[in-house]
Amino acid sequence: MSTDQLQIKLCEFANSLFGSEVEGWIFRCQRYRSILRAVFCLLAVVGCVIDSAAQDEGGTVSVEATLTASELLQAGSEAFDRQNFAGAEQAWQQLETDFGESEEVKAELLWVRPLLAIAKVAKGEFVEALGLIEASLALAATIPNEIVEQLRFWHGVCLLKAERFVDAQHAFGGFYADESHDYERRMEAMILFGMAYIMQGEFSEANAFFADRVTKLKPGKDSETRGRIAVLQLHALMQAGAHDAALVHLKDWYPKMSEITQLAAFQSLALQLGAHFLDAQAYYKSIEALQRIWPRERLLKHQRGRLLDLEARHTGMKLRKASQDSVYKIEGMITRVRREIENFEEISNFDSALRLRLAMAYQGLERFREAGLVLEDMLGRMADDPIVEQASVRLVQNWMQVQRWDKAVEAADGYVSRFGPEGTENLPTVLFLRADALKSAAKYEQAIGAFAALIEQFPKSDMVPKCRFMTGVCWLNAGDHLKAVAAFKEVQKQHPKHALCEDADYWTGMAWSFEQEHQRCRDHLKNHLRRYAKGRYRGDAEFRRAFCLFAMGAYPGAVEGMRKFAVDHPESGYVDESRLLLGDALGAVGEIDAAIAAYRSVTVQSPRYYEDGQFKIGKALRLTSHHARLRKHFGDFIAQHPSSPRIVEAVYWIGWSHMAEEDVEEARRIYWETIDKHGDDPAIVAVEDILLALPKLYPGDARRELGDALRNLSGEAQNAKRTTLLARIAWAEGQFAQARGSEVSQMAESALLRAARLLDPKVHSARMLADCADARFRAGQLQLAADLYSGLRRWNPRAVEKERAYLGLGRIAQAQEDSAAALEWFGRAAKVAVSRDTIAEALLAKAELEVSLGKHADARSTLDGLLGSQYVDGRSKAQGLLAYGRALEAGGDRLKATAYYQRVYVAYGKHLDLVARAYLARGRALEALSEKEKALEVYQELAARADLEAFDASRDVLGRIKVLSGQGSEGTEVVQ
Amino acid sequence: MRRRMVAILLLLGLALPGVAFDVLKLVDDEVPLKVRVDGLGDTFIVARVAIESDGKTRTEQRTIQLADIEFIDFEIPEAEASLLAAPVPGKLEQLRDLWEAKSKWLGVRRSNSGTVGLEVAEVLLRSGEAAKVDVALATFAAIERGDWDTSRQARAQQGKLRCLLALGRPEEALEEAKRVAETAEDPGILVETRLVMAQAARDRFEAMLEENPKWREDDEVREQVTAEYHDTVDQFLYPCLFHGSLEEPAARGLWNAAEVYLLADDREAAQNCASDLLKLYPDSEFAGKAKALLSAPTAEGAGGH
Repeated sequence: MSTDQLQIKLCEFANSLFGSEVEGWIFRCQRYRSILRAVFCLLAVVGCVIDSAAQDEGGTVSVEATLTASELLQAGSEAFDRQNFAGAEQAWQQLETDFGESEEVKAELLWVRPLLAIAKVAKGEFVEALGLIEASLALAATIPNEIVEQLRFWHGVCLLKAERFVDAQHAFGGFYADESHDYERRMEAMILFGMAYIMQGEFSEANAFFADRVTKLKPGKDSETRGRIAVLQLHALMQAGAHDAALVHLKDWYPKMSEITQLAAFQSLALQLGAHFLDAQAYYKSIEALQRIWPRERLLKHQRGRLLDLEARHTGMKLRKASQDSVYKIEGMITRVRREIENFEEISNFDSALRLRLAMAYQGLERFREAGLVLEDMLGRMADDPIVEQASVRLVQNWMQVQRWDKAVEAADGYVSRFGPEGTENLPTVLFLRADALKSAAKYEQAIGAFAALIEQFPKSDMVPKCRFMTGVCWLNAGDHLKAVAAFKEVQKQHPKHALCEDADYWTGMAWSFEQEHQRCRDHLKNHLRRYAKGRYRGDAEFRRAFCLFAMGAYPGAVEGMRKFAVDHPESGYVDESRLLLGDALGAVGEIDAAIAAYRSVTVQSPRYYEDGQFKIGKALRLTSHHARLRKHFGDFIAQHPSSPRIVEAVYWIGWSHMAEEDVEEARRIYWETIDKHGDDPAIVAVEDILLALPKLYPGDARRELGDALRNLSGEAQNAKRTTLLARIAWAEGQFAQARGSEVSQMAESALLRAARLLDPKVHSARMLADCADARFRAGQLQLAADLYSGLRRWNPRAVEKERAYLGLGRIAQAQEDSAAALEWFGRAAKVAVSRDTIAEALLAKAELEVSLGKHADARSTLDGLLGSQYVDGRSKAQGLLAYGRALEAGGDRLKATAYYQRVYVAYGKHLDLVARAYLARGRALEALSEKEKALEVYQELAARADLEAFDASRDVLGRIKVLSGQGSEGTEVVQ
Repeated sequence: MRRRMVAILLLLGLALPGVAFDVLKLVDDEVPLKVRVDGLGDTFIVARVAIESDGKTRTEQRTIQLADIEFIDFEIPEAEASLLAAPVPGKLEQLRDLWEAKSKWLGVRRSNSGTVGLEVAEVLLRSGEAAKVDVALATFAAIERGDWDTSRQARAQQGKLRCLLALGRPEEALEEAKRVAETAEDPGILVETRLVMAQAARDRFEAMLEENPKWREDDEVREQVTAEYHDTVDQFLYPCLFHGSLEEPAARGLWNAAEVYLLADDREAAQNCASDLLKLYPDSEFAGKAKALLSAPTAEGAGGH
């Protein structure tokens, strides 16, 4: 809604005042006409000739020339009764023309003149009525007071209409000051006095006047008047440029809005105020104004409800014969509300204008989430229109801004379904944003499809080159480097002059590098550097070319390349990495000192590369047996970086160097010192590595000394309540005992269980948590084990040990007969595991459970995953085949099962225990299929294998062989 | 002549002294009736209808079907008006008696029974005593079901939610909130329902954080927790965005959104919320907490909700 439209509406609301007042006046005049009827009778008595006159319901009165004065008087009166003002005017004017000289008629004309004035007012002829009114008022003494009161009021109105504002104010002022006048009418006059200021453009004066007047009005009795003033005051404040004061006024009146009859006008002004603040970038003020505006339907519903309420009150008041002024007041309100509803209903885009402005205010504050929510709600309620279409585009952009990719996609889909068929100008942009959101959400395949669809639908759009480029980026992220190369090449082929060609060309080279095609990468980037000699990827391309030499093992070339790169591009973000790689390359060609110098040149600005460099120096010194230098190097590192998480690792190597020089005592000293100093800090995980290294310092008989030292330290830690150190010592003891073999496994378990009691998953390492949780599981402490596994998972979501936690939780659930949970955990373990053993163990456990639950198809599917996995070793696959056979048998397909069993001893012959089991299982399956001869063959084959003698299966089949060969009787069961 | 004088006086609008009566408007009749309603049946009322003829008024008892009545404008006795204007805890019994007498008129258009009922229920709810809050709940429910006035129905819905929360029945409050949110139009009820739903979302989010404290690093749960996080914040922002003139719930929602941001370690977003709260609702009870959050960047400003 534009400013002009709002102002027009306000004027219409103001005009409704006049209309209602005219109607009120007409009702009042009915009283006056009863007096006129008495006058008719007098005229009749006087004996004026009365001819008949045809009268119309509307329009003029057909008056014959021979009508008497009383007839003309009556005709005019009756026309007036029927609100045929033109007819009334005609009759009375003819009365004056034909009989105006008569003394009797002159006297009556005094009575007629006021009605004639009102007839003109009712016809909207305010200026013409003015003369009549003033003439009547000049003879006020001869007219009833009630009529004089009305004439004085309408005098003011006519002056207002004639734009004689100052005179109008005099008239209204005088009317208001006369307390004998009707109270409600005086309030009306007061309002019109203020309106005269507005109509003169004296808005500050209007505001001051209304502000003063409103303090003298009473809530309750004067509510309606106060409400009307509130609207006018708001308008005046805004017109005077006092927008801040207008906002205060709006906020002050908002809780009292029920007093405002013309609520829609008030709210429309509030919308205008909000728009003003938005344009002025006073976003909070804009929001404060816009927050106080109701939706269109709510406004209309409220006003319609108010109208019904007023009408019911009106009915009740009339029946209870309330005072006429009260009734007129209600009638005035009814007229205003009704008129306002009619006008407001014509404004169809009120809500969208409101919501869009509110969203823009939030956008101005960079509250993109809030803006998005407002727009989303708006779009869900609005019918399509240009504002809604623009808002839909903004909505997608807002969600992109706050990285809510799912919302962005959803909003884009909404846009497409609403406006897509029309093919709007914004459609390509929206489709691109949708695809971009999918990419950002790592849904690369969907993003690629979306980019492709956009290209197909809008082949000539300027988005197309970017779509092709982004397709390449998606393929890169998805790991399909060759398709990325193809996509980038398509950019250059289809859009050879586009700015993105440089980017596409560079990334083509990178894709070759990711694909490990290093020479192709080098060749490609060489051409790139030639073609784009001043391009923005110069430095990056140089680095990548040198990197490729390194990756190919061409170290001399890599050295040269990295050195040149660092000199040519000292500001590049790859510089520290290049220095690290330079060191590696120099080390590879035996230039140790140069390598060390290169590592030292890595700056602390790249913390990860810096620390890597420091430890590579250590490694170089270690490999060249420069132990003293190594100790100094790491000593300096520890001193310079006391908060580094790798200081204990540095200590480890210092100790190692002492050991290498057979200074075991010094190694021991420094290790114990470090364990004591940092052992209770759970963040320094390397302490655990130092603990694990201790046995090397206590070989053979000295191991007892280690045990004593650990016990002493443990006692001290207990006394000092150094829980983490205590836990670590216990855990380390468990590791030492496990390493010594099965005869001390009980000691190991005991130590680990001791450690488990001290662990806090929130702070302690995943490694300790996993080891101790496993110990608890083995000890049957299922719930305690579950607590540790769960804690490990919660606090170490990226640790490799998470797979052990899932597996453990699966085992626990299985033990507790919660099959659904067990399957869930086994599935998750298989999904996240990086360890071959865990993948196999999880899949096997899952499959076995599925078989036991009768989910044979699921079990086969799980085992298909195991057998097809490149990460699973041979033994696990053999186990998988056995399990597959069992699943097939459980599902009733014994014949197929025999093939799986056979595959075990044919393809995985080195796993003898599994081979023996496979033979046995196949034989039994054949027996169940009544293939006794084949079963016997299998059993005999098993029995003949000397390498399988040690296994139970070999012994067990002997009985079956006897039975099947007729040498024995049934009852000789195979014992598994 | 005398009759004419009376007529003139009437036309001049001099009010005649009269007896209190109700006004009944029939659906198919333009002219309303002066009545004194005596009783209410399931489908009808019994009333004495005033009939004027020849300047005299007589009454006639009639049974009128409710379906034929457009509205009844009940005369409100002064005592009742006074009681409703300023009810105090000591007058609860009077209010309850009044409600008992009037509750049957709930569905009759223009009856003020619902106003009486709401007043009773509010007083009971404010007592904080479980037994009284239970009665308040039932009263609100009756008004929600049977009042002819939709705005009172909305207030009753809001009252029900507050009762359920006061009685420590948040799950029921949530179910109720969801049901109401689908059809409610009254802003007060809408924000209450949304805040109940937002609180439930926050509880779920906090449970997820408890279970997955490093959710941002966890590929398995990140998407799910992120979705719950955003949903929770969105719900808390609803009152400010869509009914921002309701200051208390809007400020409460903003502050809760800030707290959720802090739970997710998004301090900047939390401070943005705090800024908005101070700008838009500087006098709210949450302004102090918002100031503390803005002025201590390294300290947690979260408090209770």
